[in-house]
Amino acid sequence: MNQVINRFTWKIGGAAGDGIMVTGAMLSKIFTRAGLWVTDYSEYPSLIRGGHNTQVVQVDEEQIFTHDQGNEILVALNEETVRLHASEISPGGVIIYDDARLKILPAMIGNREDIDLMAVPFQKIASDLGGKDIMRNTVALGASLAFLDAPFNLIEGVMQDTFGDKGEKIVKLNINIARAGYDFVKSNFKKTFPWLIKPKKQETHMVISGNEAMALGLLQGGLKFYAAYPMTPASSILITLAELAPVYGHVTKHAEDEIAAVNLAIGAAFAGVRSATGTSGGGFCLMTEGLGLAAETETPLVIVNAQRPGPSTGLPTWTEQGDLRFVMHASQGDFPRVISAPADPTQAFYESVRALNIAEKFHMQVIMLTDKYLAESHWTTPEFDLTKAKIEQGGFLENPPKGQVFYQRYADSPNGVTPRSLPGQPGGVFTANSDEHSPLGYSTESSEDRELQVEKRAKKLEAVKAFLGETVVKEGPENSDVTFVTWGSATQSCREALRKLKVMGVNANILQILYILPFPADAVSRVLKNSKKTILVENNFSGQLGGVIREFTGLKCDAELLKYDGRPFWPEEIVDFVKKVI
Amino acid sequence: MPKTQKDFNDYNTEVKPTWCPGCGDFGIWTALRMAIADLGWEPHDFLVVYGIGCSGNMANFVKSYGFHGLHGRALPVAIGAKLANQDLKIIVLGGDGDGYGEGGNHFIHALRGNVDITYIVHDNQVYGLTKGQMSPTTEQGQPTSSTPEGVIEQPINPVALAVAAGGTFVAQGFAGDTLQLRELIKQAIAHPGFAHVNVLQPCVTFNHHNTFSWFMKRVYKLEPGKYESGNKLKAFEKALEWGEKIPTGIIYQEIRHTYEQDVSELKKQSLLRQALKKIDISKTLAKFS
Repeated sequence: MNQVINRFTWKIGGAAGDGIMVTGAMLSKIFTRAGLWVTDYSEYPSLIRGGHNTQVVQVDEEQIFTHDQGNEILVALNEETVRLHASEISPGGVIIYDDARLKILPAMIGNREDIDLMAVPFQKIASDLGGKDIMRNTVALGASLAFLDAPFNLIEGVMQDTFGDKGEKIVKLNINIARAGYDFVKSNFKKTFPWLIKPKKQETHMVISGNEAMALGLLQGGLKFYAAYPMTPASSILITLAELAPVYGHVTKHAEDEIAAVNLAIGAAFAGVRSATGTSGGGFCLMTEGLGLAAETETPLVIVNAQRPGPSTGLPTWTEQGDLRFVMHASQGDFPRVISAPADPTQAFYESVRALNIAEKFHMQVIMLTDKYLAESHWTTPEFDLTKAKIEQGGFLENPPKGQVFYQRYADSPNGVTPRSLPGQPGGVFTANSDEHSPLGYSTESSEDRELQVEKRAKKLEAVKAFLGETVVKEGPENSDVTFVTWGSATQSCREALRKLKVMGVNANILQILYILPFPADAVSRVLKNSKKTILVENNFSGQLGGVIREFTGLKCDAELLKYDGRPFWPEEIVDFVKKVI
Repeated sequence: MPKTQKDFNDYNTEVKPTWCPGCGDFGIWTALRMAIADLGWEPHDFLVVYGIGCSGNMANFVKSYGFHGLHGRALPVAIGAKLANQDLKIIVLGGDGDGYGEGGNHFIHALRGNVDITYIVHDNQVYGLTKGQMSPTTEQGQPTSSTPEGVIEQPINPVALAVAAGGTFVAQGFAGDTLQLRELIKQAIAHPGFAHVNVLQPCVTFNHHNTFSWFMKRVYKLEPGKYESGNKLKAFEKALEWGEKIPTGIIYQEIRHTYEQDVSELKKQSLLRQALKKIDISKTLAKFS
């Protein structure tokens, strides 16, 4: 049998509380440090204990974007994992399980004879060495590496990083337990496993999730205040920032609700610091009035909406891109806002910096639209270049004339941006008013004041547009047979499909719309007009981006691939669709 | 100590108040400006955050930095501003519908948190700006335009609620006693922590029950020395007095750490004073590789 080097998919399944996510995260790090590229993805129900959880780690020699549906190693911590996922295993693959806890009958695996069943006494090995029940995972980790013939020393540093703060004893214990799992497979599995790991030399890469990248981007971008109410899948931004507060000196506030969160962020921004809030669609519903308040008072604000399937509570722990139209039009009134939709951790990082810059310089509200797939999955990612993550300040009133008390904060200006004074600043007194207002900020109902303020706010979007430059991202060869038109994390699935199509000899490229507002109408028009076959790919039911494209360009994509089952696009689905339409 | 002698009229703006003649808001407006004049603050020294309602319209009549926010949402804006710049003096003005109805959740949590701001509530037991509907403090049985057969719910007792929710400074004033209110506002400002002043006031247009003379007959002052404001049980007793006698003055006061005092990141300086120049997250990034 031909051996496959450095390309395989590992999956673990068990109940919530089994600790499988930690195991997956360690594997991702191990392989990344081995010079390979990894993506991981987890599925879990909205439960703390029980239910069915899985995590997939896919490894490749080249940069990968989305995992395949098949897998080669399945670690089964419960029976459900076997029943649900045995059919996904490639011929020659293996199920690793503990036969003291789980009996695998032929019917459970569809009577398959082309896969191996490897019983490893997870629990006995762990407890014999003095480990707790949860360390079954560690045995499984060691066992998995043995199948792949990976050098064991890859594990040690990662164990140190994962458990180091629990003390040297715990680190040692975990290493010993992993070693025992490793050795057990080495001495009991006599065949040659067709998939192998061969570490490569490569520059240092990170393993990072969208939310982590975003939290770090906000910090590098000068974020000083973050208020939020926990909501999946946005919570880990709050958690990451709260953890780092002592290191970088910013403040996080767990608010009583999302309404408070957005108003807290507005208050802090009004007082002069870079501030943000984050939530998912349901929380964003509660923030919409605050979004309008920030717009009317021209207070800088960044709001992250990590989408999940709605309406209402929907599928709390799954993914979807169903809020595009919602955030474009959220809040009463007719006013501009900026919407960015990063596709991956790298974009999430740099765009977070840029969001804070735009908000401050243009007194704008920037919505960063992500989703559960981007927010919580991890990718091997080149290190961020901090010299490219520059803070650009602006929009502040400097040196008002001596003796001046009042300041016309809302006077007209050529690009709509009138420098703002900060409370406490002499010579800058004004009122930020949610009522329509005069240049000083006092309530007014005159038609002249109203028109001036509406137009002043609207003008700022043009200024932002000029500042941003190109806001579409094009990938793949020009003049391809197929052009995917997409946004946000669906871009990752398209990128993976590109790799697969290339192997099949199909040329494809991608148009990612990175900024939904201001909408890059010219750039999108050009691509749509000059492409052979355009396919809209979005993770929602009604093709919201497709509608937006029609609205701004009058053009329609040639075909639509939509998905709304709570899962990201599997690259195979995109490839199959391409085969059908070309 | 005041830098220059200030007069309360120094805090007027170009806009003249639009309240109904005889409205209790005039008394609160005057007491507030008097208190600030006594403290000698410059208009740029302080921020007043307003909710929406007749009380919030004061945003146009006070010469200072102002933030006229959303109905019920003044408190979180003020708390956010204070956490960004703890050196700033912040006063919040709201109404009974605004603060105890729409913003009730924020009120409870602001009391728990004890951020050092002053919260003055215009409590006229009715909605004025929307023309006479019931408010959370309207008396049970009182007919209003939204409850023509009388209010079914019990009214909220904002003072008792404030004491119960962990308020560290809970006071009640009366818009008809500007001089007492001026002193209460100064004491509230001096209090290190969240200071709540519930101000009873008539609405001359929409509340014909709790009128000026109705209050005049009932309010009495808690005398320092005779009433100890540091006892929570006694404070509850006072807070529950409503009907023939209504107490004014400081109902309850205790000194507790403010929220900002217990945020370790704010110990050295305010967020606003942190420089943006030298941010370098590379140490954290290294943990991801």
